[in-house]
Amino acid sequence: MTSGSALAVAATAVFAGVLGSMLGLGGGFVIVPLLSIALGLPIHVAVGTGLIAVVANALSASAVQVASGAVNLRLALALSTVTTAGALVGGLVGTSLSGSWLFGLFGALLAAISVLMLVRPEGVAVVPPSGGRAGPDEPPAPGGPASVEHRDSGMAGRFFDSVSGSVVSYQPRRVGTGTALSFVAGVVSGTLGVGGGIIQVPVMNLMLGVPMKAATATSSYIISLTAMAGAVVYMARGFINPMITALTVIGVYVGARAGTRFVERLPSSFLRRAFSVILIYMASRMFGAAFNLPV
Amino acid sequence: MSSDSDTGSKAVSSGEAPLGGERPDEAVRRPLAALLRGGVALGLAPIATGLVLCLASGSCGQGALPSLGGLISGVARGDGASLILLGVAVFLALPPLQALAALVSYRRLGNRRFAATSLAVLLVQIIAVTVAWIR
Repeated sequence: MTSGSALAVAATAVFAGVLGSMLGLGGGFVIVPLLSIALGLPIHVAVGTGLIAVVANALSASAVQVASGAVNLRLALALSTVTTAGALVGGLVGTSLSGSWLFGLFGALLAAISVLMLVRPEGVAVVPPSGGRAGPDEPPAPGGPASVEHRDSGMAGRFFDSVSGSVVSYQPRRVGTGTALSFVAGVVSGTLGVGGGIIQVPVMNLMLGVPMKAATATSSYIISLTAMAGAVVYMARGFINPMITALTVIGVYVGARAGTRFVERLPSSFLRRAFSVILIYMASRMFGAAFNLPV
Repeated sequence: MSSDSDTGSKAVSSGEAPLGGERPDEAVRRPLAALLRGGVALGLAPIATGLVLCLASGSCGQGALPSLGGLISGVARGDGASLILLGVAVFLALPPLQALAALVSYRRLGNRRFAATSLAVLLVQIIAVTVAWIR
């Protein structure tokens, strides 16, 4: 590997680390396409390397976010059981698929999630307390506060939002449905090396009603518990390049620490818009690679 | 382990600046955060050292993984690729250690439900690693 290539890998990893930490995606959704498309690595090696980077990114981000209180530990543990099983299944499936299939599946996943985020840009529904106020960029729940009742799932969360300067409390809903979808997130993670936050964040935000900042932090923590299942499958089959792995792990670590600081200062609406734009671009690149189209 | 609810979510923000009282699961957060910080540092150190050695020598192994004995002897003789793989192994060992730490912490708190959930996560992780290596 030339010094120029090493620099390119390192720069890509830093970029992926910043985005992955800010969006709770783990960084794999940037690392895998760039390693395979821009640097020409076999896609299976790119996915294996991406999964190692995803684990490192999630661990370093979680070290900060667990301490900050943004991670909902109980929800994360409940979702991690099935997510880990899904990641194992995904790793076994991914290592048996051809490169074209992996590119096509990657593109389809990114396109689907970007459409979802554009169709439902409002994100989480917020119910202001009597005499209180909603977060700065969170709209009221459809139907208003009076139409909403709550059942304690033992997973209620609470964190300090530095953007609004207030404490945000929430009660996750439909946790059972979210658990089932977490298995899918695990399969996708293990197959494509994307961490699973690409599904976990929208599911927690849009379906479970977890505020975006808590959803991204909890997603990073879930990834830190689960992505290793897919990573060991790729590693056991030799789909790993030590030099590129080292460059991506260190680059992602540096980027993740920067991203964790940024996310404290950015409003949720910005995160959602950035999420959608990045996914649309990456989807077009992966479809191009799958069908040999010039993108 | 988890309950399904067809009711709406509740997310409210109050004007209080600091969190009033102790945050949820604070006794679990402290050991987990310490484990994560220490583990990340322990994993990064051999990876960074191995990367420097690989860059200095101009080559770094690729392809099949060494056996455990091969990895240890490679680390002992200062092989860059072996050091990188050691760091990766540390990172892959951290998730089960996290689940174990959560299990112990919730048991100490007397929270059987989430101690059991942590145990389930740990067992699935162990099964995943076993299946990955034997298949």
